[in-house]
Amino acid sequence: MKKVIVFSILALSFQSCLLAQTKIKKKKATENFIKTCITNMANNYNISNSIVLKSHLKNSKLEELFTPDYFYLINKYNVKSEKDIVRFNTLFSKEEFLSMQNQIKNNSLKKWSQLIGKRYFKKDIKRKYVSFSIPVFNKDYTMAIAYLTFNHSVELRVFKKTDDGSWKHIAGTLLSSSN
Amino acid sequence: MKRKIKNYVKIGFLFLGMSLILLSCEQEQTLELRNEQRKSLFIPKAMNLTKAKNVVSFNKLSSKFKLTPFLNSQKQTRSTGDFNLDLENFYEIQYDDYISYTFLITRETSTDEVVENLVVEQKNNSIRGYIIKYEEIDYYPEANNIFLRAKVSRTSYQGDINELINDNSIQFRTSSEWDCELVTTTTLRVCSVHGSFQSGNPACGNYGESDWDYNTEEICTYTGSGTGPDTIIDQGDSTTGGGETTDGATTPIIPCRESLDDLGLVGSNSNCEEEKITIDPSVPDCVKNIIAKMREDTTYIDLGDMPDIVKEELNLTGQIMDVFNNSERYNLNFKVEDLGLDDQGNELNARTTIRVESGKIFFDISLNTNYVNSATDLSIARSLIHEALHAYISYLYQDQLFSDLKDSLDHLINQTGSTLVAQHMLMTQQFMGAIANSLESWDDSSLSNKDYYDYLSWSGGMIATPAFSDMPSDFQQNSLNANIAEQSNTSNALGTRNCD
Repeated sequence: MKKVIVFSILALSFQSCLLAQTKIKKKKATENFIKTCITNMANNYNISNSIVLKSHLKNSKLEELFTPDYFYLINKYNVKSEKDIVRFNTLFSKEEFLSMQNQIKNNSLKKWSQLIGKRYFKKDIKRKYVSFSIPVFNKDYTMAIAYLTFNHSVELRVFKKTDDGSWKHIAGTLLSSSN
Repeated sequence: MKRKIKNYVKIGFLFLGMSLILLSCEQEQTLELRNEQRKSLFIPKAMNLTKAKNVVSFNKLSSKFKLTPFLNSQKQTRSTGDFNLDLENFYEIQYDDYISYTFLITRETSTDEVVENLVVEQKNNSIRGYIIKYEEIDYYPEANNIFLRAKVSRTSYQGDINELINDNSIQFRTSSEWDCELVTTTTLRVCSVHGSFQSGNPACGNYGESDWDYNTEEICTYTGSGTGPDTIIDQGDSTTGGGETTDGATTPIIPCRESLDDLGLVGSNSNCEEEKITIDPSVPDCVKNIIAKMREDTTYIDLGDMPDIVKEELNLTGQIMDVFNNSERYNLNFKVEDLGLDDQGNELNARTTIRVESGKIFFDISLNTNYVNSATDLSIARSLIHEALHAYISYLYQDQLFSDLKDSLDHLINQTGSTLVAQHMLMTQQFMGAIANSLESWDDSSLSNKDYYDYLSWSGGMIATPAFSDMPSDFQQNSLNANIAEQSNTSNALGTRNCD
């Protein structure tokens, strides 16, 4: 009996440990992602501290944009030959799409400062604002996809993790434009 | 004492274990959500004969099933009467090693009450076909969705079309015993609310997968005397998902009828011709007239493969409309709505939004209600051209992956950090002549001051580009003045206001 209890506790501890590790991995990746984006976009934009939680489409939830239908619209930049073409609607598995939707649905963060502190959000009045949704990751955390809202436009963007651990914007699509 | 400590440790471990169980429940909740998602078996693909002739599997199937003469002749007469296959609108279904093609059959004696489809399928390298009959067809609304319900039967399976028509004489009930097989039917949902379908819940089924609704039933050929079991397919009761056993698959193709049009079923399991450029009921007649004139614009020259730089200097409106009219996947939709204010509190005039529904891509061009009520026709026409150009650039960017336009846009996105800014810069670099020429063509070149079309061709985000700042200062001022005058129909406006 004792052995069973000890074994159960060990198994539960192991599962809990795995879960905790996944959460930590996702948190670290998210932190690293937003810090990279703030740095990379610093020349043109202020990143808003508010996280985008809603879709621009009246009848759709944000997670409904993380589907193969909308990923079909995403184009990779600097395509020189057939081998450079990436079909983002088929690149990710069904499980990955569902996981991405769940990552959006289960997000509880509303401000980036909850994650990385306020010091990253200094206002420069010369620059316009861009707001990010929480990034969603593929299975092996090599790609991140985020929904961005600018003053007059909305985009879905794909970022790839580089060797130095930062995130490079490699593809995107314009979902809405005004004026 | 030792025992007490031991007990405390045990209780502690138990408490820890329970906490861990509770903690892992968080993960289970996520998994549960995933389990709610039902998998699609397949997505039917709309086909026409021209497209299908380039598909190896179609050629193999049609040849072995002896369909070739039917494909080369529009009408085939058999002893059973006129027998026509609709070759402009049929469906291919493919999954694993299974493939089927479903065609609508029409006869001179056809009635609205009975619909026949020919299904030719290949499974494990064996090719066979049958005719499936839908009777008592009913499209019924359930919450915000519309589902298909029909009574179904089929002929026996045959190896080629002649055996099917002659030997079987299109009998749906002839041999000596029941012969039933599981057939999955799928219909395109007309759906406005997504989620997991339940009774009383307006959401569609198959959420997160596709807009196709699946239903697997035993469909029988009736043999012998008396009456047999009627199979009813009811897509609204669909509970099937991935992994369900099925002997074959088809999608009902129902002839176009006015009642289907009324239900908004154009393009979904009906062969109604789909309008590629649509105008929402929110658009008042004054704007409809502007759009209608743009659609009638045939003064553009189709230069085919000429360099983009040449095309982009010419009138573009007709060409843009033509592109969307002839595209299978891309659609243009116009509407008028309240667009509100931007982050700086400025009223927005127009917006182009991409929406994907049932695998089709819609560019919704919206004009702001206040703008429509205050602006002149000239200003509204210019805004429509500007927004249509956004849609056109996005379309070309998707469709022409190795074009100069994509290279230029990629470079500008990298430089500016925004696709919209990049599109506006591209417009200023390559499309200024096209916008002005399109506007002048729409206006029948009625203005004596032709420069006015050039002034108005600069608008919205284009005015914030370096290209505008580089223009002579008097041009910049004239352009700003023209925009203000036409937007608010001031006394300086040269256009007329027709919307109130």
